[in-house]
Amino acid sequence: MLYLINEVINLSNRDIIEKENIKLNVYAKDWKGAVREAGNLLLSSEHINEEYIEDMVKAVEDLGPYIVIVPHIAIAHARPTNEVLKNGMSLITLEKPVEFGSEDNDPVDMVFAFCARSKENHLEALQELVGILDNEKKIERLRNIEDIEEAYYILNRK
Amino acid sequence: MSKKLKILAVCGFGVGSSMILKMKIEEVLKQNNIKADVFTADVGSASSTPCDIIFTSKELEKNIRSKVNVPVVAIKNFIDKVEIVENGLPVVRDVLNSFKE
Repeated sequence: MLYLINEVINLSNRDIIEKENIKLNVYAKDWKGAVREAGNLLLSSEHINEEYIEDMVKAVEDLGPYIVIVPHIAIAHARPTNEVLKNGMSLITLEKPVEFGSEDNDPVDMVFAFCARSKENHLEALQELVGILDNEKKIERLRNIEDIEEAYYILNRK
Repeated sequence: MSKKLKILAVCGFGVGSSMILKMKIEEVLKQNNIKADVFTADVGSASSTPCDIIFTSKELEKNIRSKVNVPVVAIKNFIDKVEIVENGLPVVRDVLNSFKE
């Protein structure tokens, strides 16, 4: 019972995106560079092994730019594998937008990267992400923000 | 008693974008009082997963359409409920009507 209560408290206090997983005004040469930059945050915060980054790049190479699921925003991810150490999400905003080749949603200036250990246990993280994507005001603010503290606050405010 | 509608949301791996699309489809169905089961699948297994309608992205649509004989709805913006209502809902209603015949 105590365990369950702790679980609930942990969940409600958990960050959607930790400060170390946010980077603003990043320079990326092209879409691959952008995906790798977002992936590198998850790598240095020990959410993934390096292979996962290339898995995310390969997903777009194999299947096309479908990860640009809303205008100007890409949700980079790959299949849950052993390369994922814990569930997580990162966000980069780009200094200059890049083309993913998406007919309708290019150019991209924000890239979220997410990693999940299994299909089931990241649903909550995705719901949180949808909550952010749904909020046009939040997205507009994030797009132009220069201060990580402020970005962190916007992303994680309950 | 008519059978329950099965909708499949498809993305590359069936774990990311299709989950987001599934959430949005469910919201639209609920608002319109339509009962259906919404599942997700990856693009490789979409054609072998029994369903009545497939929702996916424009990029994956071409890949899927030739392999299935159910209607395929292509969505550009996965969190835009207006697009799901305008492009998806007529197809959902058509299929539901065909259940009654």
